[in-house]
Formats: sequence, structure tokens, C-alpha cells
Amino acid sequence: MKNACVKSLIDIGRNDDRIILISVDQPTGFEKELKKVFKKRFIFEPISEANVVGMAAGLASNGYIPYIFGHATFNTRRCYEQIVLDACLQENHIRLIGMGAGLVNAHLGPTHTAIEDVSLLRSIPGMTVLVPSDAYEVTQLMPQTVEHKKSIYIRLAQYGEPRYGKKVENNKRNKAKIGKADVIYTNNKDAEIDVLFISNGVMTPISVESSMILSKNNINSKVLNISTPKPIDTSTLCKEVSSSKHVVIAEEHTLIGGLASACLESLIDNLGSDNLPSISRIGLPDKFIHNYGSQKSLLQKNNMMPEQVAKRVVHIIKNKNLK
Amino acid sequence: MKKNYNKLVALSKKSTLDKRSKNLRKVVMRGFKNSKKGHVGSAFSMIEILRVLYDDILKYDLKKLNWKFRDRLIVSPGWASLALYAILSDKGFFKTEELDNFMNTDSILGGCIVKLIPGIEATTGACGHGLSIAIGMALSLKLKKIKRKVFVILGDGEHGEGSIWEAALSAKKNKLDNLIIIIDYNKIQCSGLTKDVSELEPLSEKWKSFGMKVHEVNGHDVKELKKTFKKLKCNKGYVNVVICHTVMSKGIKMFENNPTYHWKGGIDTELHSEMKKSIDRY
Repeated sequence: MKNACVKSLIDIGRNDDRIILISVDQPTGFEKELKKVFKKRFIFEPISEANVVGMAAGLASNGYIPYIFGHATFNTRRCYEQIVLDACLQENHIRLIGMGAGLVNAHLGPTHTAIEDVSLLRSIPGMTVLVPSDAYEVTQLMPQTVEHKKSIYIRLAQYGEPRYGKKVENNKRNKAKIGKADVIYTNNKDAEIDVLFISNGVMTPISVESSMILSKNNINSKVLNISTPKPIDTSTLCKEVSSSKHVVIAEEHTLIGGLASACLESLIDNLGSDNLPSISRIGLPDKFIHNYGSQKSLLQKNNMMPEQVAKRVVHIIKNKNLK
Repeated sequence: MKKNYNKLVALSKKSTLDKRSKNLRKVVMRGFKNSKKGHVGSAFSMIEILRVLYDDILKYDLKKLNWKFRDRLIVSPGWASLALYAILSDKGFFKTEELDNFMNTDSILGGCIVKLIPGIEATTGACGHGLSIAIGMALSLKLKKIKRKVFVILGDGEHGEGSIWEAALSAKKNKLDNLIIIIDYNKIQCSGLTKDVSELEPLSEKWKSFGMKVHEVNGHDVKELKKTFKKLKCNKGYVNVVICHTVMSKGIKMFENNPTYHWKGGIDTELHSEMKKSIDRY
């Protein structure tokens, strides 16, 4: 996912002098090529997120389009006031690339897990938040970030892309668009849908996998991928939710302020609380994580891996007599 | 070092104010008349710095505020807004009458400066933001090969913010010789004397250690300020820092050097009139 992001950026920056990449002491893996293509527009700064965001705002105020490459944790929490005041308030449009988001850096502990970043960034007026689910989506979204007249947070949390990516691709994915939600998988196209998964980031391939497992239990489901939690695609969201018996919203984030919150806010405002189907949320608890291991081991610990999600859905359906 | 510091502190206290400096202070007083409150201290300590910059140094075009060949000025202590409003209205960026609405609900002029006001380059008011924005602007001018300067005024109190020192490292690393850092060193911050809150001395040595070329002046001496700004060498690969020794609330004798007047509420008609008289007598 990171590679796809930087490669796309190199392609974009090759013919567009407005593009600047600032790395906050984070190797991109493409230093040689970036120096060759971007020349002085590739800036390596010390570990100083607050300064870098302010500096990027200054660059943006004079016509540049700065992309800031850094850790999702530090690129959001450490420089929050600069993002709010220097970038968003003053309409100095910057792009924050948050690497290693979610539980990707689980092995390093709570200092390096970004599980409230979407909530933080989503609450800033004028901010666009992107949570792509795989490299394929990153490659499609990146060129669209250039002319987008808002600041953008691009959350990168890779997760065994090729394995899940291919399965989704076989199902013929539409082109990802900023601000557009898309049904990317349906396990039984000819049948009435029992469960609508709404997800983004790594929970999209996991939801697809869960959907596949559920088809074996004769539960028909589909996956609505919302790679832009802000601004959310209200019309697709309402349309899909209105025609569903049960909705499961899944995110690699705490259940405060992330995708589920964004969906529920939009649904209540647009459909009304009386017109909603049964809705369940799958995400991380409102707790600091004091475990290590890996992204997958922590997803496992929180009952969020495909088999576990499928089991939870079967249980919900049974309890609620939805089928 | 200490000798020079003491000399400049003494000079800044002794400095008299000419007619233009007094008149600009009276424009500031128009703001206080309506609001009856505000950041008094820095509104008066920064006047001569701003006056010299706008009268003699900055290149700008009133008819084309976004002129790409303009110099930029960022005022990081955005709460010193009235000083800036006074000079901007004096120069014709907006009408002086606007100050009569200072801090009103629908006024364009708030307690801290915002980019929506004609002539303001950056919204500031939260401490420690201005220098980083200025660095981005200076870098953008370098990349575009535009030979113009970026001036940024910093308050002394905001030196407590880590972002100032992050920015100092970055300015040096990026060899921003088109960047001029001006410090309004009035030695008072929100909760007291800067030396009591957190001693900044030796301030010039701190900036020198970051690789900057440091100049120290009496920040109320118009001639000295002009001479210093004019003489700056801005093509030598280093950042210039001009430490301006100033007096908090300069021009209002009864408020000078008293931390109580960093922010002052309750400026009623009587007090307002006394403040104006104090300026006249100075």
C-alpha cells in the first residue's frame, strides 16, 4: 500500500511542478527515484511534525500541493493544532499520508498504533479522510488527490493485499473515487441480501472474506466499501442500507468517531432513526492497547478476523431472527 | 553580551515617541474604545517594528494584494492584532473606521488576526505557528526563484513552544536566507515576567547556536530599526534574526513593564481617556 502510494506520487509529480513530498524522517523506499524526479521538491525534514505541517501550509499558501509522508500516529496526534489552524482553517490544502495506521505497528505497542486517527481528522471542518482498502484503491485514488480543494488525510494500513485484492478484483470492482462508496462484493448476486457489510481499510478484505464464509451458511451478503468516510457518500449509503435486513459496520478503529459513527450520523440525518434496519458495529474498544504481536494477532484478539466476524454475524442473525 | 542586553533594555525604556508613533497608538485606542478590553501590552510594544516595516521595508501593492512579487509578513503573536490593524488601516488596506467595531460580532477585525483581513498573510493567535508557516512561504519563493523576503515576527513568550525550535532547525537546514525572524522581545508574557516564567536569556546566543545571524536593536528606535533591516544580507545562505528589545505597553507610562496589562479588561471611558492622555504626554 505504501509502495503504491509513493509510486503514484512519483507518477503524478513527474509532470506537475506543484507537487511536493515532505518526508518526516521516514524512508519511502524510493529515495533515489524521488530525488531524480522531484529534485528540490522532495524534502527530507527532521522528526518535527508540528513544524512540517505548518511549513506545508506555507508552501500550499503559495500554490504548491504538499504531501507529508509520515507515521499515522505522529502525523495526526503530534501536529493536530497545525492541521486544524494552519492547514484547514486557512484553506492551505495539504495531504497527510499516514503510514502504518490501525494496528499495523502493533508490535511496537500503543505509541505506534493509530486507532483514533479517523475520529480526530474527521472532526476537523473541511478535512477529507481517505481509508483505502488496498494498493489497487490507493493507485486509483492518489491522482484524484491532486486537484481536490480540501486538505486530505490518507490512511494507509496494509494487510495481505494480493490475497484479498484478487478475490475482490475477480468480482469486478468499479474505479475508486473520492467521495464515492461502492459495493465491491456480493456473495450471491441472484438472492435477496441478508447482511450488508459496510467497511473500509483492512476491514474491507476481511468483510469480503467473511461474506464468502457466510455464503456457505446460506447467508447472502454484500460489502459496501466506503473509502471516503468524510465526506461520506450519503446517497449510496442510504440506498444500500434501506434495502438491507441487517447492517454490519466494520472498521480497524475504535468505535468512537470512525466509520460507524460517520455512517450512523448520516443515516439518522437522512433516513431518520425510525427507518433504519438492525445495525451492528465491529471495531476496537475504547481502550489503549497493551498487547503486542501483529496486526492480525490483535485483530484475532478482538474477534475481527474473517472467521470470527462471520461467526458474530451468524450469531446476530440467529438472535434477532433475521432469517 | 550582558552589557549589550542591559544597554538595549535601558535604551528601549528611554526611547521617546515621535508624532507618527503617537498617532498610530491613538488608532489602537480606537479599538479599545469599543471593545473595552484586549491585549494592550503587545499592541503597543510592536508599533515601531511594524511602522518601519510598512513605511520603509516591505514591498507590496495595495491594488493587488496577492501580487506574487510581494514581500510577506507573518505576525506570529496574532493577539497583537491592534498594532497591525493600526498600521494596515493607516496604509489603506481597510478603513480606520473598522477599528470602531473591533471584536464586535460582525466585525472583520477580531482579537487575533485572520487571513480574511486585507493585508494579513496568515491566521495566527495560537502560539508557535508563525515561524513554520513563514518557512513554507520562504521555501516556496526559493523554489519559484522569486527574490522576495519573508519577515516573521515572533513573541518572546511563544519561545516556550517546541515548534519554534523545530522550525529553527528546519530554517537553518533549508538555508532560508530570504527569511528574516524578528523578535518582539518585550520580556512579559501572559502570566508574568518572561524571566520568571522561563528565562530566555541568553536569547541571542540561543539563536546563534542554531546557525542564525543575530542582530540586536532597540525596538522603539525607528532610525535604528530602519538601518538594521536595510543592511541585512539576504543572500548568504543564513537566516537573519533581529531581536528587538521593546517595552510592554510602550507609550502608556502607568502600564509599562507591568504583566497585569498583557491583557486588560474594563477599559471604561475614564481609563480610556487616561491612556490617551498618557500617550500625548509621552
